[in-house]
Amino acid sequence: MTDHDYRDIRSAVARLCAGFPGPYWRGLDRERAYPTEFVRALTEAGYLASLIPEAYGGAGLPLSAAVAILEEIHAQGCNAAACHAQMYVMATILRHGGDEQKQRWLPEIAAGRLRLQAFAVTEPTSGTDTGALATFARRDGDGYAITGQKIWTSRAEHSDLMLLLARTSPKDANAKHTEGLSVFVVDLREAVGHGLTIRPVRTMMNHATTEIFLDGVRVPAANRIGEEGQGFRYILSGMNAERILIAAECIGDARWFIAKAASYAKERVVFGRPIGRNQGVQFPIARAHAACEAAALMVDKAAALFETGAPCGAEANMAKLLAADAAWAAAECCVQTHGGFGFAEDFDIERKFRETRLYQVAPISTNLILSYLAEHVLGLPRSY
Amino acid sequence: MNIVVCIKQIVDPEAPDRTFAIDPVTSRQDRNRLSLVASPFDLNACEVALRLRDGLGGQLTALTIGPPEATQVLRQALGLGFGAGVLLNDPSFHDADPFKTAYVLSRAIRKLGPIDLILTGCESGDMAGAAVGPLIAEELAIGCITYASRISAARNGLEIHRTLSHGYELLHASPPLVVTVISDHANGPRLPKLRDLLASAKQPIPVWTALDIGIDVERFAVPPMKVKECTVVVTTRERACAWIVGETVQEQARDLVRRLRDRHILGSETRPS
Repeated sequence: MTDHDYRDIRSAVARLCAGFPGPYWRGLDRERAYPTEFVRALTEAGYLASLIPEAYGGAGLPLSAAVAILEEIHAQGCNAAACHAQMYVMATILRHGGDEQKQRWLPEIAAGRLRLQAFAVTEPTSGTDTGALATFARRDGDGYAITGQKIWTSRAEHSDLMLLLARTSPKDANAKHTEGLSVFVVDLREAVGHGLTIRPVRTMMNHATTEIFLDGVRVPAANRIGEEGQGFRYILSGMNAERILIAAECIGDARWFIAKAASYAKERVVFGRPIGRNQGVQFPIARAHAACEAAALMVDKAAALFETGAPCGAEANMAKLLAADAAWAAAECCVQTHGGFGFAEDFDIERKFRETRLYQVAPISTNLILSYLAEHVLGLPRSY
Repeated sequence: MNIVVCIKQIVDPEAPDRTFAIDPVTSRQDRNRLSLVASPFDLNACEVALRLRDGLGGQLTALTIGPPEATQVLRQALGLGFGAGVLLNDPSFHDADPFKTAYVLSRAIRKLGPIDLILTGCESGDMAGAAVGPLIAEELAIGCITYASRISAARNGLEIHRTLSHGYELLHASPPLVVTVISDHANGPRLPKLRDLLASAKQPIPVWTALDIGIDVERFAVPPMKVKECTVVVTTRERACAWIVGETVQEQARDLVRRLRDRHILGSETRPS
């Protein structure tokens, strides 16, 4: 693509999304069902392989293209959370995996024959404190036996492979708690029923998240990514991409809410005139629009830095914070503009409202982003 | 088989009614700041062409007349798998009526060389004239079949599935031929693959002027504009709320039927019991 805005890609994504209108998502939401047809359409069109290099069968596009794709999906009223990880989880293999591992997995992922969209890091007792992980991978001959528990591992039931972070040396044996962690690719097709159990966790929105129990799960040493004990560093390098891409989804959500609110405010006539003539209705929508556009600039900046290989931790975190806030403010004003209809399922607003609430918390809480900025950007004392 | 599909770029017909406006100077739809898309029936024509190519092989070319931004619809066709796209752009092409449009397109088609099949939408998604396809056939002195939904290979030619008001007919025809295409479940536009989109973005799109297709601009008054728009008016819709009256449900039903009949929504043969 030559144009920075990826206009052709956005337009094609919008046409794909037109085949999955509100009733499709409402039906899934009611049943807490996985959007299999939508994910298949994205896969077949090649969007989920957009970041995989051409040498491995992907499109070899920069991160900003994935930003455009995810933003457009959400701006069209769809939701990419069911499959967005397929875009970026593979980056850990791409950056830190060996040649044999890349050849084994990446072309299959690019072709859509292999799903890698589960990323097991968080544990019930660790929360965001990754150094407190307790899941342990014990060396056992030519492999590892992994025992422990993970939570908030989304899409595990709809993935063939799962990236997993586990301790390979005791916490106290390392100078820092984030040392001694290793990354593994767990083949769920073999592991489920052989020590690995997936338990779905029902949440306030349709997100296919799960809890995972591991009891001596065998993983070949050939499935360990990079060096033993360096896993935290490998995982961190992928987190900036994750934050930027999820920020893009928030921008898409915000644009959907704002367009919906502005449209309704123009058409809804009460007391003989459109409600959009009232500044009390106009101003929150206008403010949400301004916040959305400002956040979008930060997403663009973070993506541009990421693409040049420059440090972008602060920008990626700020993009996620600002975009999540903009989406939430837009959701709030959209409900308020619609009055009672904002709560009616048929308007899709209450569903999107629940969905976008997630991004105040995941994949990283806004509070942790503020702590990061305070400590690492502003030099203030560590607060936790 | 060499196939040409003529595509028109129009204002998105899905855009809200309130965005529709007529430019008072040109008496044409105001396109400023509006989303422009390929006319929907033309995309059905693209799908018919792609299916034929998938089965028979051959070369697909998309043609459009318009300003530089109209290359967007050509890129869309390239992203779907067309081999080439040509933009026809010249000041003398502006504000063409269907006769002039068909003349320009037919000149471009002649320049492309021997063509087996020329497809257009059955009508454009904005002005709905349904004239350009048959007029291209007239210019090229070849046959024309309108309102087709499917085309397949048949012995010694093509089999064309043509839709009628209460059914369909199957026609056999030999190329070269113009066929206009309707929207049908059998020709819903496919979705592009990301890799094809990326490849299409790099593909050069030639721009042909009047001179390039052998039109003498000085004499372009021939063929003269045969149709002139006098006035285009945007109709307004008003909503009104009426109460159905009656003491009983039966009386209310009778009142409703009477009102529907007064507005000719129900025919006179529909009598309340």
